[in-house]
Amino acid sequence: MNAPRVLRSIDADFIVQAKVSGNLRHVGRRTSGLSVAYHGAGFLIWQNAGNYVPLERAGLVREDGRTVHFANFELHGNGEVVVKSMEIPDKDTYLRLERRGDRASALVSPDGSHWSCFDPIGARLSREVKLGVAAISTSTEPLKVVFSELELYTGEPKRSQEIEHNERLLAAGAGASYPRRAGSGSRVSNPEGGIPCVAWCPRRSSWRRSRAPIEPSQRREGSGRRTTYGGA
Amino acid sequence: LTDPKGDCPSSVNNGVLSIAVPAKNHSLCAETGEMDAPRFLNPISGDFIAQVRIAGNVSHRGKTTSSRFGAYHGAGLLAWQDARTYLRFERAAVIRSDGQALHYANLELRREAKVVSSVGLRIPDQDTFLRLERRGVLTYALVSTDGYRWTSLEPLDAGLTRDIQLGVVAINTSTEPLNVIFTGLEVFKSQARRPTP
Repeated sequence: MNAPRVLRSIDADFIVQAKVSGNLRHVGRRTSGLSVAYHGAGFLIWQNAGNYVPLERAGLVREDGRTVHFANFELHGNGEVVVKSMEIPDKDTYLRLERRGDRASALVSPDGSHWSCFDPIGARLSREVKLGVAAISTSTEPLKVVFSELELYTGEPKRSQEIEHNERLLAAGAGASYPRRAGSGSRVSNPEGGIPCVAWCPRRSSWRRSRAPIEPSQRREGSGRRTTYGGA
Repeated sequence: LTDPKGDCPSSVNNGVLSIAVPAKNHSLCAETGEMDAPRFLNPISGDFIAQVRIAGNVSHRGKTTSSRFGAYHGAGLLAWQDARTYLRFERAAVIRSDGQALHYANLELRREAKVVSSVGLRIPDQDTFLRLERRGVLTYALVSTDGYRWTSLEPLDAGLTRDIQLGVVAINTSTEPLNVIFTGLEVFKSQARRPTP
């Protein structure tokens, strides 16, 4: 757990966004005996060493030498890990992380306007957590990352029952639902609980799972049909 | 609640705002002076991200009650500088010339009582989340069916002043009443000190 990070306390719901630049894609060899060569940089919600949520722009080198570039969204909580990943272009990337009630949601964008969205993760973190940025490298190639255009928005803490009330309303609505992406993520037990995230294999295994084509619903960038109408 | 005609009953219960707009002209169009739509506004300063879920019969087959516009149901977020300059972002439905209903997210900017931008994005006729974001110079409008996966309209430079009012509005120019339910209103305020116009 020795990745550099900058954190501050926060005790409300929030939406945070930043642009991540740098050499996330790399061709280095791994420096860890437990993890592939990995570069990652992004947001971190931190309750403690066993409960935290990272969202990173990431690059890794697979064992076959192929490099891949993706967004990585994880929940580490009480010995379990939820991992979601989404392939993205190797260029400056906007990351957005939201905590609303007991859910964390993540979005990725090339321009800060049009977003590709992860399914939300149930994240029952304490009211007060730390929020900030982190940079991770397990590669023989140095990582140089730049965070810019940081924006932070805070709201009132939302009560769990209010969230559940809204979800009941949503579920009762005509055709409304929380669609789930088959194979979009994986719940993995951490067999060695407490192993540092940067040196843990599920990240690699999650990437293998994520090689399934991304559903069109996930490709939000400019996919909407735009027309112009008059209003009243 | 601002209800110029005084004929739009509303209620607030457990964070749920319901507004009933009768089958009469209740528009919010500064360019024609028709400003009778019921709206609920609160002051806000600086950048923000606001989101709300719209349920109700934003769907109709009525005839128009307006001499200038077609039959329209709309409900959504309203960023209000004054009665001549404001931004509407609504879940909306109009009746096309072939009689079919068209459902869309409607983003309209008025400045000095003129429509300077009007953009629509087709959406399904179902409960809809709307999100409006003022971030620096630009304002972003996004729409979602679940409150987590968003489709964006193109950002625009709304040019609103730093101190405005933000809230919800319900608009009806149809011979069918509009009964709209706003839930899950969330407002996130910027923690940055970046100046806005």
